Amino acid sequence: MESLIILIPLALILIAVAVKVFFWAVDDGQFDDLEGPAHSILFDEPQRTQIPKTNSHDHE
Amino acid sequence: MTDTRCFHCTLPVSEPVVFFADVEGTQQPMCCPGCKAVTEAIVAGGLENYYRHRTESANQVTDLNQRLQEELQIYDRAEVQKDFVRPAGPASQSQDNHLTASLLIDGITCAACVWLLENHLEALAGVARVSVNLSTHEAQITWYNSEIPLSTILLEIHTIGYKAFPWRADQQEALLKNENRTFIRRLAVAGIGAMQVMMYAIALYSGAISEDMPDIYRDLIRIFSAVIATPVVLYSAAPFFKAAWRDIKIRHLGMDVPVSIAIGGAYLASLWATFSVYFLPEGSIYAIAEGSIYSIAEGSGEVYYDSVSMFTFFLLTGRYLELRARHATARAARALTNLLPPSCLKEVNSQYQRVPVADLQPDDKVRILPGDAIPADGVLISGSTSVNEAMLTGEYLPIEKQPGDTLLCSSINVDHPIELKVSKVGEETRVAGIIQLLQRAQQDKPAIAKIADKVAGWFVACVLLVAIVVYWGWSGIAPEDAFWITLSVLVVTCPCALSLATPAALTAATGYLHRLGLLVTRSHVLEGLKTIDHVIFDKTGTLTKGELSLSQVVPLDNGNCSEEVLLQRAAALEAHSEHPIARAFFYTVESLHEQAHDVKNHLGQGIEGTIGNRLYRIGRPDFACPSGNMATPEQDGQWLLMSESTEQELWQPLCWFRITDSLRPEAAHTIQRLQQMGKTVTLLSGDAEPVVAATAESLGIRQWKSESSPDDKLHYIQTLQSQGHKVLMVGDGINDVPVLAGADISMAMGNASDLARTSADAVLISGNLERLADAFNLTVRTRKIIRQNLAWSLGYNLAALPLAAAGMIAPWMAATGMALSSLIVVANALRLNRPGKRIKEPTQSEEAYAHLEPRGAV
Repeated sequence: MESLIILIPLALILIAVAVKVFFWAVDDGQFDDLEGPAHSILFDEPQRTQIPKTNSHDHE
Repeated sequence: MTDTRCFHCTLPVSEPVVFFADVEGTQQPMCCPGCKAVTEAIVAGGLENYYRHRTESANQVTDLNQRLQEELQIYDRAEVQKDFVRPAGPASQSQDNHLTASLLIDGITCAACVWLLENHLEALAGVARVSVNLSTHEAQITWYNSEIPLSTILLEIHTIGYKAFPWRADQQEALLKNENRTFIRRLAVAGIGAMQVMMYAIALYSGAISEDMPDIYRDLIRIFSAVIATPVVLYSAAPFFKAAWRDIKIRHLGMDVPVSIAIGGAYLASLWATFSVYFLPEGSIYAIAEGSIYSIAEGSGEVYYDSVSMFTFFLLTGRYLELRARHATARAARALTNLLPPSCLKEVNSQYQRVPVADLQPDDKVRILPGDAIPADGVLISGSTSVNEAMLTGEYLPIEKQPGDTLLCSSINVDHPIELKVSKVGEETRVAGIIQLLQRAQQDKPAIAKIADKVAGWFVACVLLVAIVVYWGWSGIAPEDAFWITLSVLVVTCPCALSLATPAALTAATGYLHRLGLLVTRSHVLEGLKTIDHVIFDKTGTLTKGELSLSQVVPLDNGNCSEEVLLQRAAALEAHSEHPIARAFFYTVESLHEQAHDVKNHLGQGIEGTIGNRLYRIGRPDFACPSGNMATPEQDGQWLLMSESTEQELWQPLCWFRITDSLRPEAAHTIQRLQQMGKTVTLLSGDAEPVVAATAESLGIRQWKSESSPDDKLHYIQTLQSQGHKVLMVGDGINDVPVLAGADISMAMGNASDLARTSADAVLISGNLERLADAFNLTVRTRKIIRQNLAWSLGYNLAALPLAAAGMIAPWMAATGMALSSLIVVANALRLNRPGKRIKEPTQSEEAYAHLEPRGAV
């Protein structure tokens, strides 16, 4: 039980860090568009599909 | 009617399909050359994936023209750019040609649009980075000015079917952004805090139940809970306290009052329970606890930090959803007013220069090209043309204008370039007069009471009354417990679920309607629709498509040609005109087989030209056949006569063409559905009586009024309202705007004038009238869900109230019950997001009423 005396204040510090990080993310504009990024992961990026192709040719 | 739909914009295409585009090896049907061009541009850019990813169809494309290109070039000027363009990168190394522009993109419907825009634009040489925000439709484009001018980028955006406008991030926009970010912060603090306090609370509860937790640990956990809950209450819950204070000042009991009492009371009581132990002599605390029925744990009452934090978090979540819906509509409305700064060609030192309309002064000379809007009221000084005043008067046929005639601001020049001497600008124009009428009507607009507010007032009064009675009662029986029991009454009756009941349902319903293509911009629409008993339609552009089409061909006996050949020749002649009538032929005939030569446009009369070795005329009967007095086949409608002549004197009539403004295919069925729901449908139009009567008859509308001015229409609605009726108005033109503002609920068509769209309570983006009937159905369901939610949350609170009043509810029970009842309310509201049986119905019956379409293409 004595560990609580260290662990609970430690949790408090972690929370403070979490809130701080979250505030930074908000200020960074990461929460300005909540719909678009969810879809964008589905879209192919033409540059990425092309670069590996040329590389593999080089190796062959 | 067939199922063929345009691959790009998914509008129906009439058979046989004329336009095709090659998409991944398949010939896909296209409705118009514009869509074909866009599809080909998308495919040529290797961006076919757009069609796979998109969830909503694209807008139909309008043809790009030379004028647009010239207009966009205004944006290459530095003095125009300073509003919305800034140097990219840090100021120290900023070069003049590395720039970032903020643009607002019109026409974004889903995530695939974002993908298409970003990929298409980033492929351009000289464009460094493009990022498009799906929620706000804002685009940030970074480019090198030396490699590519901004106007080319803007033109590319237009080429793939979107519209781009400079986005001046002004104060209001900054305010919205700030509000959004502050809210997310509050939400984060409440969420993280609630989770942590809840964890400590579990330890406290288990310690209290097993009764083996040493006091020092209990106190430690309580103190840390207090530390975490304090920012939740003081920062996250601040909006509730502010709103409650405002409510109390204006003597109105809203939902925020009990919310604030519960949060504030529970928080202060918990603080007292936590820290009083250090201020008061030990004996007095045990004296309070002794003989207490209520206190489960020994000590100075209970702490409610977990309940306070959870409650704040739940409520903030509900409010945040509301806030987002409100911001989306505020942006949509602002986007409309943030369009291209209108420009015109003004004579300066006997040369014409493009200047902003705001710079015009009376007595300026302005040149207006065909297709342009007239920038100010004035007098025609040179050239003759016809002018479309549909936006002002509702009359869809162009009106001829000769030198000396008056031209009105906002009407569209149709035929020829003209010169105008400006007489009135800005506030003095006729349009501005209509806007003033609009403001007057808005002030008289009847308010629609919200059921949530009504319930809240009663509920708050009851809870406060009960709390007072409980306190008074217990102070007689056990004075030392009275405060804690009263507090538990307030916590248990915490109107968490109650205050979520209505907003959750409305948010879900609004979202669903938006997906159907009906954008609700004012909050009272969904609640108000239920009470509507009169639906009033404007004719042109609302029940009709607002564009002319060929509805009937009547060949005359003396010509020996087939209908097809006659149509071909008429189309060959009309191909040389830009008149709206000519467009009706363009859409009817698949491809031109014949060419007309030596074509002469006789303004207001018709067209004359040579096909083969014969001379043809098409136009007014007295123009096409000057010798004979030809009677039109039917009394009403607009008829064109085509005639031919081999020798100069003799004009031989060949064929009649009937031109009408075609009805929207779904109009008749929608009106039938509305009438079945018991709504009275009325047609109010500025058009002439025979046309209005015929339209009303073919749609089954029994009440109609023709030749009504905006004032007449407003008066008509106000008369109905004074008789106790609730009126919904659907319209599109500037002439409808005052009526839209005066109606209890107003709806504008998606292609309506900007002014109509901003002043309406809802916008029918899809242009499909069926959605109106769907909205009525959805209102019934929404209302039902709201009632269920209210019944549930009131029932829960009422059931818990006597238990709490009897001092039998522990804090963890109150917290769990509260969370559960809120979740049930939200889950119930989300059922509105799914299409119900009644909403599906119209799509199934689309084929069934297709035959009702009265005037198909020839």
